[in-house]
Amino acid sequence: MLNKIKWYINFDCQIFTIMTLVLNFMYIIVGEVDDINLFGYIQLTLQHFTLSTVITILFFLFKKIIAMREWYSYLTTWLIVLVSVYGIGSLLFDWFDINSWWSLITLAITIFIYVVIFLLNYIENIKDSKNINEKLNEMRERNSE
Amino acid sequence: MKLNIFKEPQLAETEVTVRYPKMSPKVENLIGTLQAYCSSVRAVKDGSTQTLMLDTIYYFESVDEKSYIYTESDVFDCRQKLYVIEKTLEDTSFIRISKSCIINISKLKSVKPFLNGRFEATMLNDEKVIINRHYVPAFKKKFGL
Repeated sequence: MLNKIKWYINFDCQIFTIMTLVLNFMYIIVGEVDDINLFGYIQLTLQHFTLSTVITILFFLFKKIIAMREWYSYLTTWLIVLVSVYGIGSLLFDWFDINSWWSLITLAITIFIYVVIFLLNYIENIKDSKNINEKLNEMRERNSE
Repeated sequence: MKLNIFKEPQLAETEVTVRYPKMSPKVENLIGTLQAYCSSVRAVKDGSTQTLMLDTIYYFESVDEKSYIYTESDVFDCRQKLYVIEKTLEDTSFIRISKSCIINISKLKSVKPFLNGRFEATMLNDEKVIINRHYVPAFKKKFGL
């Protein structure tokens, strides 16, 4: 149980960190960073955290469907992400107008964040599996001596 | 680590004493391996009950609420539930890798990451089992990662 909680907290932190990095980069590009004061920045950070936490909670609630690894599992994953981003980002926090081009840009950013998280996890797992295999080899060599 | 080996013909059975200044993952692993080597479980095959040494077991698996023990080339029935086995084998070389499987890492040949966050574990007899992504952090921790 503790492992599962840790996994979800870690997942929430990953979404929050990558989302904050990407969106801050976007604000710099768009030139909005000069308009944001400290209060605005804290508010924005809390909004990012709310979004990442809502996505994490929805992943937790739909974990059984997601774990099935069928086509509808992937559909559920994307529905959770998109409903959260568009529902919370546009309707609740008013980050963008849902009927504008920003809607498509948001979709592109969402896909980008998803791919970055996915790749980071995969790269970390490749690195860890190499370490584990080295340790297993060492164990076998020790046992055969 | 110092290794002292004494031949004492007056002893009735072989004794292993582990002395350490401070508990560390290395010491934990050593104790786990020794415990697995010294312990046994009851297994049933074709109606007859046998005692299997833990170091001969590759993995435990639960299928349709029945538990099975897998050795290099045999499968035995196990009368214990998987959660009981897991509790009994705490701090040994056994680790739970999914809802239905507990493997012996001393019988593990290699691991390979999948894109979906899961790992494929190949046992020494080339059988493959899947490490569920929820159990991956605990699995990595077992190797000090």
